This record gives sequence, C-alpha cells and structure tokens, in this order.
Amino acid sequence: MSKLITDYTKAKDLKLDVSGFIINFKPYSLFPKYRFSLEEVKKIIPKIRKENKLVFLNMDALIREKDLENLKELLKIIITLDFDYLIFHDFAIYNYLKKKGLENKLIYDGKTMVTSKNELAFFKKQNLSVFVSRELKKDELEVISKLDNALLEVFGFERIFYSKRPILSLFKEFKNIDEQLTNKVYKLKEKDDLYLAYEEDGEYFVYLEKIKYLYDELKDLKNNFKYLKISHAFIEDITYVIDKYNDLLNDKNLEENSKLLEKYVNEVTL
Amino acid sequence: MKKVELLIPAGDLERLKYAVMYGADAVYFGGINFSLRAKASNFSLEDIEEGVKFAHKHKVKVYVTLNIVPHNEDFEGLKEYLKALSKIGIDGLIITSFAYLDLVNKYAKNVEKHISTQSSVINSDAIKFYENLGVDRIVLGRELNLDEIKAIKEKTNSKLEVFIHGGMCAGLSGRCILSNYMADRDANRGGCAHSCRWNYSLKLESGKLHDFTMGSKDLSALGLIPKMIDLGIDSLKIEGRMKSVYYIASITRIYRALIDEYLETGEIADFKIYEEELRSVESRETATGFLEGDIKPDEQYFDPKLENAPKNFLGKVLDFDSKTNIVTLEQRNNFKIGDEVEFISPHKKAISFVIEEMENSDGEKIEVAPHPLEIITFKVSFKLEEGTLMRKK
Repeated sequence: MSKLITDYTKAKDLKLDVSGFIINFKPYSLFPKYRFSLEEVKKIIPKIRKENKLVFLNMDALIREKDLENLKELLKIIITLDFDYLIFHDFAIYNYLKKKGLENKLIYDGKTMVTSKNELAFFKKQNLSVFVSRELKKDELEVISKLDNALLEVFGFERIFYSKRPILSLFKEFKNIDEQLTNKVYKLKEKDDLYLAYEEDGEYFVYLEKIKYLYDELKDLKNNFKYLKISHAFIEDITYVIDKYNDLLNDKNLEENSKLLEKYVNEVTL
Repeated sequence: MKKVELLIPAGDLERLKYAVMYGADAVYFGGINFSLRAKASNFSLEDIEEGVKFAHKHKVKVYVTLNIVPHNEDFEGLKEYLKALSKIGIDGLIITSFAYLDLVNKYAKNVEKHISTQSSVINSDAIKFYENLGVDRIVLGRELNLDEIKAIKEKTNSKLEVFIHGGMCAGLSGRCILSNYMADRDANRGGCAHSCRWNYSLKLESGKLHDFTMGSKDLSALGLIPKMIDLGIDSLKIEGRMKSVYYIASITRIYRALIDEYLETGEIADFKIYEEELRSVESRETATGFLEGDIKPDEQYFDPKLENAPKNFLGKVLDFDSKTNIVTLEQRNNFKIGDEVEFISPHKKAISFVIEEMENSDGEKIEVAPHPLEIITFKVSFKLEEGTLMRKK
C-alpha cells in the first residue's frame, strides 16, 4: 500500500497523519521558504523520530561545479544523520553516497526527466526509487506504476520552470524597482492566464497558478506507488488535504472528498 | 595548440552541405523521430546516409540527436533506428534519456555517446556518473563559467562540448515545461514554444504592473574563443538547427576563420572584423551568458527590440560557368541593377561587385529581382567557387 509523505515546514506539522516528512535543505533544495540549515535539520530529525515517522532529506537542486566542494563537506556530515532517504536530482550526490555504500537510501527526483517505464526500469537496475514526472497522463501512470520503484507527487503547486538566473532580482535592477522581489510570490499574467513567479537564493521558478492534484485518477492506482507526496509548498496548513488523501488510501468518502478537494483547490489563491 | 572541433547545426541536407563547405569539423542534426527541434526539417534515414557520405568525404563528423525525454510510446522503432544509424556509420549520438543510453549501448556500440545539454550536467562528479555508463562526451549545461569549465576539464576524462553561439534557455534545460502548459506542446519532445520569451505582465506588491519577459539574450562567445581553446575544450558548438542556409554558412565562416587564426598565430589580431561580420548575420542581441560570471541585467531580454531577420542575404549561387563567368543565382531578397553586392564563399575572401545587368530565367533583361526563388543570371569578372552566396555590401 502507498504511504503519504509531506514537507516539514514547522513543529505543528509533526501531528499530521503521514508516514514521513521531507526536510528540505538550505542550500541545495528547491522548496520555497521553509528550508533548513544543517544545524536546524539536526534538531528536527529527533522530533520526527519521536512521532515514529520516516525522515526524508531533500537536496533536489542541480549543483554547479563551484558549489561541489561545499556540497561534499555537507554530505560528509549528512550521511552520519539518522535519516531514511535522501532525495536528489544531481548525480554528484548519487556518486558520493554510492561510494559510501548508501545508495539504497537514495531517491531520484528527476523532475521532468522521468516519463517512461523504461526510464524507471533503468533506475531500478541502479537500485533507485524515483519520483516520476508530474505531467504524465493517467494511462501513462498506469503503465509506469507497474514497476515498484515509483513515487509520485499527487498534490501541490507544480513548478514548470527552474532557472539559475535570479530573474526577478535582475529585473528589479534593470527597472530600478524599490520593492524587494525575492522570497515572495508574484503573479505573472500571459493573456488571460496566470502563473506564479518566485525567486529565492539566486534561483528563479515559475509555478502553475492553481494547485495541481490527482485524486479520482488514483482510485485504481493508489497502491502502486511506494510513496505519494503531498507538497506543502506555499500552503500553510495542509491538514485538510492530508485527511482527504488518507481517506483515499482507506477507500473512504471518495465521491464526497473528490468534490470537497475540488472546491478547496479552487479556493486557494496566492 | 590542441585542435578544437567546430560543431555546426544542420536542419536539412542543404544546410549540412553548406556547414561542411564553410568549415565545420562536425555537424549535428535530428532524425524524423526521437529528436528535439520538431520544426526543423529533420532527416530521413536516406538523408542521413547521404549526409554522412558527404560529410565523411570532407573528413567532417556527423552526430545525430536522440535527445527527447521519451514517454512510453517513444521507444517504438528505436532499436531498428539505432541499428540503421550504426550501419550508416554516424559518429555520435546526442542523448538525454538513460533508457535511450542503455539501448544505444546495446544496438549502436560503435557510435560515440554524447550527453545532451538537456541533461544540464554542470559539475565534474555528475560527469563521473555518466562516464561509468560508457559516455564519451558531455555537452555541458549553459550555467557554467569558464573557471568552472576549467575545473571540470581538469577533473574528468570525458570530452567536453560547450555552446558558443545561438539561442539559450533561460531555465535549466530539460526542466522547463512552460510550453507544455502554455502552448500544449511538450518542450522535452521537440515542442518548445519559447514561452520564456513571451510577453508577460508582472504584478508587484504595490499593485504596479510591469511588462516582463524571462528570456535571455542569445549567446555569443566570440571574444572568449581563445580562452576556451586554451582550456582544452574539445568541441565548440553552435545552436540553430532552425536557422537558414545563409546564417549557417556565415556563422560557420566567421568562427572557422577566428579559430584558424588563433590556432595558426596564437592570437586574434582584430576581433572587430569578426564582430562586425557577426552583427550582419545575427538578428537578436547577444551576450556571454554565464561564461564570464554572474548574469547581469542587460543579459536578459527585458527590453526586447524588434527582431529583424537580416535582409542582406540576396541569393544562392546555383551554378557558375567558368568559361563565360556567368552566375546563375536563386534569389532570396530583393536587389536591383546598380546595387553593390558581395560574394562570400568557403575558401575565399568576400568579393565586392556592382550588378550592371541581369536576366531572368526567360532570358529577359530585368532591372529588379523582386521574386523569392527566382532564377537570375548575370556576368562577373572573377571566378566563383561551389557554395558561394551573395549578400548586400
């Protein structure tokens, strides 16, 4: 049976009814706002363990050569921590943990890059579990989920653009704008469509304006994935959503929840 | 000084031939399937065979792109395609997907494996991962500066390929799915609609709306080529499988001459000559991207000027009769009697000429050549070589 995981953002989250928490590292993860330094992570892990939950560490950024030595210094300490899984995107992280014999703790988050069962099969040969891309259709998920190494983000704002260029800061400088443009969500409008622009620590992202989620589609698939991730990004309280997905896993109130979740998603605006 | 490869895009056979004639060391293009740039006139297997024969005859290598991020259905026919490419004798495959790489290792063993820039490989440890999978070359992500590239070169064994000219993704390649949502086109399967360059409005907290775009200026590393050669980069790559014959020929000619000057003399006497040539061909503003360090505001396309496709390409020389000095030309832009024009060719300096009289394909004397693709003939007082193009002076 699939298990639910979500991002850890604050102490209150510890009471959420999930199997594990993702702690997003600062630097080297792309999660907005709630990212944690090594010292903070060291303090959060025991709190999660106290709740008997799994600990997922997230370092899903791509790493430039200039940051490689710092990354390795950090990994040296990270591998001594009490964690279950480390989510990565850059194969520098894979290489490091493999050398230490810890590749069984790795989960590849290939973002947009894992879109076929053959890709999943490749990673299975490397003993890796993998987040599959979010833009897949239901029939694709059906095929992909037959392999047993897939994870899927089923709820949250979808990131559709990732840049190492601090585009909002550059724009502020170009236009002499007084307002601070980092660490805040801005609306981008293209004709009648809205998107979200966000910059933090020199990296710039675009998200879909509305939460993207799978619920009805998961009725037949819900047990095919190792973990289903509920993204906490830009959502302060995720309790309501977690409850609905727990109901899904337990086959409870599906029709009613489907309507309630649709209503919830339509009401959330940033 | 170590020789460096000049790698040129080829949207179709015609462009491949011009790239080869004008001095490419290697060319790259996509087949009909499994390749990005869906709108480029991609090659059939017959075209590939002909292209490889032509290129190899001129000692030029051929790399085929296999760089989509595939979905389940994108594996159908791949095995046969790889076997066919291997038999034809292509020199390399440019790959993004690990599953594709696995199949290339099985069915095209004799072909070099290059990891596409779509994979956004930007550090030496990630390269070591790919090396263990049997990869020969990495097309580096465009988020690296020259110091980082130097460090990577020192720490790895793979051949390194670096983009030096052409359009650039503002986001990390392969991680952008703007087009998927904004244009219903899969960017990672050849459908990029360049949505990052579209016009947006950005609403600030103050409520003020700003016109906004996310795109970056095109890349031009012309002034950095000597440094890049000194770093030992193996291949200098130009982007633009959708570009015209004239663009491909001109850009190849410029970079060929610059690289050759540096390799022969150890210096570039006057960069301005190359820069001016480049300006006459390039329709968009250019910048050096990450190569020289952090991105500056003027490297973004925040103030987009109108893109003007240069109108200085006048025609393609189809035939030259060396006995009569009669040129047969296919028209590409309007020109008339009295215009001063210039012939560029693969191995000669540009030759200036004033058109004094010309005829159309019916043998009628004409004053103006206004029709695209019209066949025009006129006499010149010098010899022209195969592959010559005519442009405005």
